[in-house]
Amino acid sequence: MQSLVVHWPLIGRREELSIIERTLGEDQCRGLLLAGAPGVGKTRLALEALAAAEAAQCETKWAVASRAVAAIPFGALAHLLPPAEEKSTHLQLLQQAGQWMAERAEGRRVVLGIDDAHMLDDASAALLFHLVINDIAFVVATLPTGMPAPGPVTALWKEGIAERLEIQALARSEISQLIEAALGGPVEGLTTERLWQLSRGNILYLRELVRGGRQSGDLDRSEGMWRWAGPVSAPPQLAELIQARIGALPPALRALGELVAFGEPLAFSVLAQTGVSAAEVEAAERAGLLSTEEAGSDIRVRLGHPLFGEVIRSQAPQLRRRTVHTTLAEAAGSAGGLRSEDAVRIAVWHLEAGTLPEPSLLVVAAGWALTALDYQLAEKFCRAAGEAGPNWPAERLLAQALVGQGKAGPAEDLLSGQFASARTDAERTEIAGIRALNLYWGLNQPEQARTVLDQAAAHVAGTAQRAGLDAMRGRFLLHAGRCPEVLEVLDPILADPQVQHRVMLEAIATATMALVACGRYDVAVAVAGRGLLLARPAADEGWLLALDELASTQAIAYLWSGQFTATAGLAEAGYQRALEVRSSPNVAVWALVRGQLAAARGAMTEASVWLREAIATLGGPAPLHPYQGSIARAGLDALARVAAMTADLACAQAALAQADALAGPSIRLFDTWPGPVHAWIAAARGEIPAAVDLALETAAVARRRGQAGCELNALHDAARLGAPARVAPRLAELAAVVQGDLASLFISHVQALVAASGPGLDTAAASFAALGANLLAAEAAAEAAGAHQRAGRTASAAASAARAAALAAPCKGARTPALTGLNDPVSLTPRELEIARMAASGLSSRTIAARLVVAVRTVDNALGQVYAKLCIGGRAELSSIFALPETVLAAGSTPGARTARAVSPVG
Amino acid sequence: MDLAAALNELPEVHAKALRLHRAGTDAAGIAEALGIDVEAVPPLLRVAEAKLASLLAAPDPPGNAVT
Repeated sequence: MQSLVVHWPLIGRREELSIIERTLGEDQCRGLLLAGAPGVGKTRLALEALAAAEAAQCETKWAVASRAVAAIPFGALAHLLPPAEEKSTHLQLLQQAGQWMAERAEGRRVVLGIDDAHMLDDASAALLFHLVINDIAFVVATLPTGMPAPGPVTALWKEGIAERLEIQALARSEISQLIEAALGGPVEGLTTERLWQLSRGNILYLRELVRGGRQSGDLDRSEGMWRWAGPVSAPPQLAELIQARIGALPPALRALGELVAFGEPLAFSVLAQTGVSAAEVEAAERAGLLSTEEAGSDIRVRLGHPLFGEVIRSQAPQLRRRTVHTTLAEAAGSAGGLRSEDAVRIAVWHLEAGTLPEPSLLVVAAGWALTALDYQLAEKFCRAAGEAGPNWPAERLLAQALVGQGKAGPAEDLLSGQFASARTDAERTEIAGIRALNLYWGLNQPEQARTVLDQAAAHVAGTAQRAGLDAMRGRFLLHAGRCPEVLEVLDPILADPQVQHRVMLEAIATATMALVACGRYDVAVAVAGRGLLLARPAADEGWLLALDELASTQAIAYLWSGQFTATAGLAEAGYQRALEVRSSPNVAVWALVRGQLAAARGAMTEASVWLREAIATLGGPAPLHPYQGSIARAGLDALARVAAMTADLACAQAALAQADALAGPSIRLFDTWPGPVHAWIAAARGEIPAAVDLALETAAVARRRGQAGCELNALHDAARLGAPARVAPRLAELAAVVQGDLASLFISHVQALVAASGPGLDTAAASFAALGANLLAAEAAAEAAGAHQRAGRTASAAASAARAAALAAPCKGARTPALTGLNDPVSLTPRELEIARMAASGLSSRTIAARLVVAVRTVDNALGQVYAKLCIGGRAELSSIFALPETVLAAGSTPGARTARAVSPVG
Repeated sequence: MDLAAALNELPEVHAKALRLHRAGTDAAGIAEALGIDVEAVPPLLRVAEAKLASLLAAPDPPGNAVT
């Protein structure tokens, strides 16, 4: 059986350990008390400190205090004492122990580690104080925060003899590193976020969560990355730990904790209605059970740690749960002054208590649940409202809840009957819109969806409602790939300042994507910017998908126009925002953008990790909703391209097969977006003529659909695959249509290829490199080398080849046809690259050796390897090769980039 | 990494301690705000400063020459 997590590295404690080690070497300070909440890693840190002391030739001792030995004098330190002498006084015993310990250390400094020093018996605490105050031993002791310690232990820091170091839970980024290191591979962002939210940086809790997930199989590898399927819950061992901590509290505090566990966050005004006093809340906060924060004129109360609620809720008997929910529902009703979004929680409490609230409350709650994309809860509320009798608003919301859950058949049954019952244009438009969406995405029936819109338009007189229907028609045209028609339909809406906010946003999001496909990147960026300004004031969870759709399309417009830094900024912020609200589709959208950006930069391994995350995040036991399927398809297509470009044919074919399975009449847009896929797979098989034909075929489809941006990408791919002359004339025509620096570069690159111009290709390489498009830069440099060689310019050919090799170094794994002429272009190790850069900057081997703390011979050997791999004669040529933009020379993945670890093929 | 981003990357208590310290709050004020002993404030600040320095020294991801 594969072992579960076996080793947890020490992460995020470098500074603490460094201060501990420094303190160990000082005379003024005689000890360190490591204080912190249970589970933050105090004991591990103390043990690491002792290991460091031992490495520094100190004599080390370790003792553990516990309840079991707390009643026995010297119980915890008995193994450190000399054999007992009869009739010794207490003082004599302390002196004898000190003398014995000093003698055994033979002049070395004694470092005494004590775990849980708050549980030392009085005699042991006195001995500890005696050893420290007389400079016989340096103490490193651990203490839980908030627990009283024996007087001599407290005196150590209160009197300045030792220092008290408060150990904190790890930060989010440290938790992320720790999980990846412990699991030995990349971890899906949403999984990391869930584990972070539940552990809040507590290492013990994290370890138990991960261990439990591995044992249950919930935490497993998917698409080459670790992913937690389903909800994350506390495993039994962790539940026991937390239960023991909560169980030690007085009954009144435990009851208070129970109320908060089922209702958090709770306003104090609601708690007060249940008879809870401010003093009780304060006592619970001091005990670490609760935390409070100001919320306007009220105080918001939460549990002290997210896992407390998890454990309390899971262990409460059913009858008790009902009682608590009844108490909460009644208290909330009495408190008054509640916000409308509180309707959701009050409705939940009523339903959990087995009581039926007013239908009007349930309808409000269902509306809020839909806004928060919680479709299951919305369905529950709607059905409960229906129990009280026919409820037209609840039925309309129920249809939306069913559509949101992908229950397309039942939703269509409901919606097909609702249109006739609608009383106003607004209701008719809303119902027709939901029905059309359900037919398009849910039932994969694009023609029927368009028919529903046409029929609705015939019954609707209002301009605003017609605009709403047109916005949706534009969306369907977009996904059919008919981009110029999209813009024709949407232009009147975009120009009308009276159009409803929501309709305008929908039209802008659709138009932006169409503009990108058409290569009008500057316009796309501007239109998206207008939409973002409109969307931001209304941004909440319900709007997030629309907001991110807009922002991510803007990011793609920047990417295709060659503005990678702008793409990176949007993508990083969007990804973090999506993680915070834990929305899978949004995380997937941004992971997809980040994967495409990494691929454009030539960071192939990083691209693969991001794209796998996009796919894995959308994956799950249920079949994908077709809209999510469209994102998954784009991710799989992009992964197949990357895999083909890195000669990972198995992965490429598996990804393409999955992508093709998701293709359907509803998502034609991605037939050509962002460019050819099958062509690169043919190229990876070595079938170059077929690859060129396939790339040209994609370009032809894009041309028929008016997608100039996609067409240009496909034509440039055909040139990269060896057919520049066949694409050059059409590319010249597209130069007038497609915007952005990257498009101009594609065209000049192809012109240089057609002219077999070595200098022209060198220029193209330098321009691609300046953009950060490392793989394209390396390919152009390699092509330059070939052109120079054919023209008999051997020296220029060698220089271009060396430059290509250096440019390809960060593109680990890239094996495109243009690079095949290079001699293993990616073989520079990080150390070789580091040494080569230092040598290129003019440093001597001796200086480099001194800086890297290695032998001069090691440096010379590494340089010899570099010269051989780059086919150059020596240092002089290194300087010209390494006179490249900083982005190109960064070895491996960039700071903040995804872990570049081996990942398995898809499928 | 700039200061604001680095502070956001720190564990919450470290970031709060540094913000208070930089705002001129004395050790007693920091101890009260964080709910820790006043004697524990100087070592806490030392760790927080060291962590901040590490983050500030970390190189930014590479940009490109266009924007």
